Amino acid sequence: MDWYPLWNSLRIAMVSSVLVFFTGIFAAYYVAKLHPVVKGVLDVVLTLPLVLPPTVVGYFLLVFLGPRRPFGGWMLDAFGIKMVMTWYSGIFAASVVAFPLMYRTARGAFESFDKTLAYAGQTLGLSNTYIFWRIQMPACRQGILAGAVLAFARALGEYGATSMIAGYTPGRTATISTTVYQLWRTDNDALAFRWVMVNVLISTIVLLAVNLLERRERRR
Amino acid sequence: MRKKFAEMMLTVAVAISLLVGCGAKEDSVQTTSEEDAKANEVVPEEDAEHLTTDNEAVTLHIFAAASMTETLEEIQKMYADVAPEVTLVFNFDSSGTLKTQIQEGADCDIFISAAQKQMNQLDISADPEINEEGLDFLLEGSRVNLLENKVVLAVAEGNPSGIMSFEDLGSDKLQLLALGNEDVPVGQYSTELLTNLELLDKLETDGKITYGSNVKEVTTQVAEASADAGIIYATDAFSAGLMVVDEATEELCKKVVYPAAILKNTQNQEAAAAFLEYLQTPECMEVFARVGFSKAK
Amino acid sequence: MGLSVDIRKDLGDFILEAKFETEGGVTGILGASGCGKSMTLRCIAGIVKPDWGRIVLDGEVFFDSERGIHIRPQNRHVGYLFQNYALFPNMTVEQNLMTGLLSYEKDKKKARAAVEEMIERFYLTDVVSHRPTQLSGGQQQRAALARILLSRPKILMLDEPFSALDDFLRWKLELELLEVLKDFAGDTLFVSHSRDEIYRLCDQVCVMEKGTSGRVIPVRQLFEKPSTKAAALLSGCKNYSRAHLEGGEHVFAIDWGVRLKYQGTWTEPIQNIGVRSHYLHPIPKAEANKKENLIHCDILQVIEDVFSIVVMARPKAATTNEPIRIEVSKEFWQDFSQKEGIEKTIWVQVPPEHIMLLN
Repeated sequence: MDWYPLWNSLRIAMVSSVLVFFTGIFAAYYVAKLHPVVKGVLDVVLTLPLVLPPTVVGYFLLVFLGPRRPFGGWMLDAFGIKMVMTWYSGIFAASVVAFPLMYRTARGAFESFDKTLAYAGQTLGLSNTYIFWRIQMPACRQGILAGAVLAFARALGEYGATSMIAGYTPGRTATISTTVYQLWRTDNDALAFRWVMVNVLISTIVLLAVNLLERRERRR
Repeated sequence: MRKKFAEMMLTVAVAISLLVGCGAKEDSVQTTSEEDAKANEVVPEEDAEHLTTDNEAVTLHIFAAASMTETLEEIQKMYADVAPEVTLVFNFDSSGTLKTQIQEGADCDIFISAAQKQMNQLDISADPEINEEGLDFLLEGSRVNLLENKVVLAVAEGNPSGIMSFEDLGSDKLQLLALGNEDVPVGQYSTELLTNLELLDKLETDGKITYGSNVKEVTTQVAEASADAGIIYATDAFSAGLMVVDEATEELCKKVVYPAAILKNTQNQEAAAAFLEYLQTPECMEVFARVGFSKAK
Repeated sequence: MGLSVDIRKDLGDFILEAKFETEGGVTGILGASGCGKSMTLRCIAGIVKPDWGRIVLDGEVFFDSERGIHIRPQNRHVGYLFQNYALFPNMTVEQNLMTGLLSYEKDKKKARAAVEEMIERFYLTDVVSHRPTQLSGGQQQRAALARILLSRPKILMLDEPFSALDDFLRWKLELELLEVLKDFAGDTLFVSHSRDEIYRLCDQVCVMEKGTSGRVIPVRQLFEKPSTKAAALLSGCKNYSRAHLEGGEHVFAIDWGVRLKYQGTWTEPIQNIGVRSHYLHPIPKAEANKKENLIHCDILQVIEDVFSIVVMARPKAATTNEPIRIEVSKEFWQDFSQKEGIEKTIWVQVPPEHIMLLN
């Protein structure tokens, strides 16, 4: 069994979870402060990748990042970085698709945060950065953690958009999901099933780890 | 995108037909009671039979290879004039998916595959090595070779990599070649073609091949110049507006034939046979020819 | 020195117009819930920015709309005790207290010592490593106060500090709070809807009604001589009648339909008079013709309270349906009703010195 897809999937899922973790929290924090109308519009836009079929998301990404398009072309000309059909193209696909999960759960958590805690921090002379990272984030920990886990799982299982912008080149852009799909399509069910089990195993380990952390945190 | 759009329209169409269907049910209740009334009037038997066969609305479920989407939708409009009582409902997908759906008991009257393989897998008279599971889904004697498609080498507009022929795929001009995976019929022809050119193993070890899970993915990747070239059907190159630089000869890969057959458990055998017959008329062939198909010899 | 507030803010439902000045001591802000008391505190703390006005504490301008000054809450050094105490739930009591001096004390040892001292002063030794959710209401309040005092505030602002507690705890904590306030050098604002709390804890009071603040007056004056009906209501007075002045220290109570004598001199026009329930004295029928300032009433209801009897009655000459409320001790009522028998009417005397003239 060639383990490349595992390694590739893991790095894509990890990098995109980290990206999505910060961008999702950032977006959630600022959108929650905006005027209701602007908030509503942005909310729809930022949630769109969740409701669109991943293939469509992949298509938009390909059109945005492709070497013939302004941005993708500029990246290629200026830095020699090809944005599509590489292993890290999967990061873009996974990030975009997983982003709404992080953003929405984080926003829900921020909205239920008791603002008097922040006010109290301000009157005590604490900086806004301190208040955000040391008071608001821990208070919203449950929601944010849930969002991060969801985003990681989604990134790990991302197929449609990845297949579109990263393709499936064994040993180069293959991920667990694209490998499973290709194997299954070529009637190699037994091997496909093994990869599915690998995927399930990783997700289970992550979920268990999070639950364990949670429990220890609560006991403290 | 067009395929997605077509799917969306199909969903809408199904939703509408369901709504209309509900309405129609009430209507049919009324008509049956009317018919009952007529029956009470003692209508001559032949007349009664005539009434039911001629006016009964028929819905044909046609599972067809995705590459036939545009042409079949056009033919659907034409057929509405020929046989207004027949409603055509299409399910476009890759032939492998369609075969699986049929095998799992999907409601289907006519199956048009983009390759012989999937048809053979459902044909009891085919080689048991291909029809491993001994499936018997086709109506005996209904199978025909409907169309022929050509396998071509397509490149993005302007051909930035300067690939001119299948032979060029072995040169440094190529960095990435987009193929359909083996389950997509075009993928099977592509691997056959590359094997004949003795290029497949080399390209695979160099990591120069990316496998798409459907033709749309391959055409988009080529159109966006994400891949330098792609091996696809002439019809797909046509509908995606891609530039074709080479055509596969019969020495490079065997003929691409689209077989069609009526399913054994159809409820509408007569209507299905009539439609299959219609597909082979010159009017329809003209439609097919416009997008790159030719009549199967 | 002291606090000077003169601000306006549109709150949608009403417009907040707070204008008052304090000069040391504990100043109560008394008003019904939702009248803008908490919003005033938030404006002073800098959490909310007023639309217009000026806030100055001890000569330092916190906010001035004309000069475009709006100091961050972090730089105002305001000790704000929130209704729910706002202890950080993810930190222990000790960590919570530490945040109080985080902004200025960089020396860890000194910080620890200061926290240690506060922990002892506020009897928190047993719960230093507890989370806020594990504390009793009283411990929470003490921890929050300790945290605030560690931040060295120039002013204390207490927002309904007892609303989250049950009655028994309330008493105990009030005494504790009184100690803290005595030791605190700066001004204190004490927001409450309870006149009793204000009476016991504050030196002066400012009554707030529908977003508008009144003058700051000594607490005693509010309870003995409120000048408006709103202030009288908040001070607990229950009986009112529209009224106008007549010559010779007399006033005519329109709603009760009687002419009453009052004490003192009064020249300003009035709209109402008020009399507290326990200043109304039932008089035996036999003495009715010998006394002045009497109201003849029909008894509507006699209610037995915990320590007193409340008689609801309507003046015979009343022009409205609003009853008056008479409160007497249980002993008095037992004695009175025995002597007089159960009557449907009652004579009530209004002492001239207890008639409050209100505008």
